[in-house]
Amino acid sequence: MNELRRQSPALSLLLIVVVSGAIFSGSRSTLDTSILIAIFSLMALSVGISFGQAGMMSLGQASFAAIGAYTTSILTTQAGWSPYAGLVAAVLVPPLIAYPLARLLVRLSHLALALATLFLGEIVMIVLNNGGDLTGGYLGIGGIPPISLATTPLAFHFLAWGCVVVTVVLYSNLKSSAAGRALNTLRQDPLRAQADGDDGPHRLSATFAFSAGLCGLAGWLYAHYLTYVAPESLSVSTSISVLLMVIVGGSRYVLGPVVGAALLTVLNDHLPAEVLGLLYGLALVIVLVVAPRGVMGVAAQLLGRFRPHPRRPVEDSLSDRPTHELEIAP
Amino acid sequence: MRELLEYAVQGALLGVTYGLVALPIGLIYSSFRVIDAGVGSYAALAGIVALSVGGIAGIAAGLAIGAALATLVALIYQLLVRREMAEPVIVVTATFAVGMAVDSLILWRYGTDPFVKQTFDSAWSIADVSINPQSIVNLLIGLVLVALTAGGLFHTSTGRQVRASADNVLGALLAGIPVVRIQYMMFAFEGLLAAVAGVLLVYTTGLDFTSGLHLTLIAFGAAILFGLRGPLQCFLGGLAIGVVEALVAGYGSGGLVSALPFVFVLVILVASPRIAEAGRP
Repeated sequence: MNELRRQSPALSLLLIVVVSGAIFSGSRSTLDTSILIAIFSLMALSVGISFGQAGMMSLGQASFAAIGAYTTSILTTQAGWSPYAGLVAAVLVPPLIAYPLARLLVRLSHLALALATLFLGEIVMIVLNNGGDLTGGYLGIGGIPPISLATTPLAFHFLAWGCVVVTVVLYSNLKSSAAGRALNTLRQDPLRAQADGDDGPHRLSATFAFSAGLCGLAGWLYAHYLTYVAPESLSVSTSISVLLMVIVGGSRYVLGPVVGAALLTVLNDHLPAEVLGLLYGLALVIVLVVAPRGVMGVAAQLLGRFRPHPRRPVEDSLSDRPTHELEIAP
Repeated sequence: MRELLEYAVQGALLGVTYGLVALPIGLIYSSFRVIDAGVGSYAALAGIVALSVGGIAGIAAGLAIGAALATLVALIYQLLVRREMAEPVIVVTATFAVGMAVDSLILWRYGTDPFVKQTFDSAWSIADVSINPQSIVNLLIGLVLVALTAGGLFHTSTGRQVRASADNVLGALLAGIPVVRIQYMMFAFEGLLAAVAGVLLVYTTGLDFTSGLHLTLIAFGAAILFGLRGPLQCFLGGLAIGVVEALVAGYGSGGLVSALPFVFVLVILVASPRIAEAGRP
């Protein structure tokens, strides 16, 4: 029963994915939007894990997605690898870069860490823009082969959302595992974690590397769905947008990043490009000031009002709280 | 040797513009231990408004817009403080959001064209080094602003109140210092400094809707070079980054050299973890 409750976010998401796939199977544009939401959800979940769970705010997640996307693009178009071999490389290369980097960065304050990842994103952009024939420079790389298992938009919808559901399952497991509790302790009280003998730098770096791997997966999906990737596709502004998705959705809820990604990608589709930044910026400020727990936090608060209060069993009363609070409760 | 001198001088004069944007970043960090990541965008909007309106009225409008935007950020900061959400990393996120909104406003209202105007028809030649007279104007104005800011911060009673508020808000409140008013005042002054930088930039290298984030990043690099210690250090940091950039661009080759200022800043951040340590749990 507890296992079922723990996986309720993944099960709810799976139901929505199957139903929406059945309803919109004939609508190419809706499936396009849905696939983009899934790709951004993966990036947002990576921020949710590193920021929501471990307290490390990264403003360079899109650069890890770009590294994953370029890795698979170069290997499949220039070295003749299959997209599946490209997947392995796209998921492994970002963590291989992220882990040693994180060992240096996790010593920094949260503010310095956020700014360092932002600078990292700028450096990756410049390298991609000036990578010559290897990266295609400003023009990027085209002609990336599609994935043979998902040649139709509907199949890609299920593939991309399947990756998101698996990630949500892993995230839910992480939150309720000993490793998740250790991360929470590192977030709330690093001195206590150190006193407990926890290897904080390794644990934080491994979490950062895992989130980079997730971004690599998002980059792989992006490159093989659009069959084209350029430096501007996954730039620093994408990193900031992904952070915005997480904050709007609710960084401390498992599904918060997915909800944020869905809301902002739909907005992105329906608003003129010139005013997007204006609305994104205003939305972020409003959420930070008015609803710091994001849409999921507001929803949980509203749902809580309709629940009967007296003589509630202890478990039910705890279920209103974000999951991270449940885990650190004695 | 002459080539080296020319690169160094041109770099230092370019660095003046970085230093001018770094100055308000350092001021706000000294005052509240937070980073305002929207400062480059205030400068960009102020400069573009100044040029599009034109004349003294344009400059006044630009300065007013800079001060108004930073005051808006002060209001957001106060709201975050009231909700006990004013962690440095949250404040920097909120200021990024404001910067993003301002950049988008520039794109929406003024389009993608760059805004630039040359105030002098010809360059000066000093010791065989060609110098844009506007750069000398920027340098002089920059030095005056640094002197005013440092003097105000370290040699006036208001400056002492600002520093007292930065060190211990509760203590400052108990001592009768109007902390909130001082915070609004400092943000407005920050916006004014950024706007001056923007107005000078539009008459030097020019500005467009993409300038905001780039200016913030370079200026932050300049500000941390000497440890985010004070206005003079931030300004000198700008000069140093400008010189490094000019030398690398002059003697190096390929577009990859444009990454060097960012690599430089990343190395400093990693090598000196105490920099920007506010918010460390």
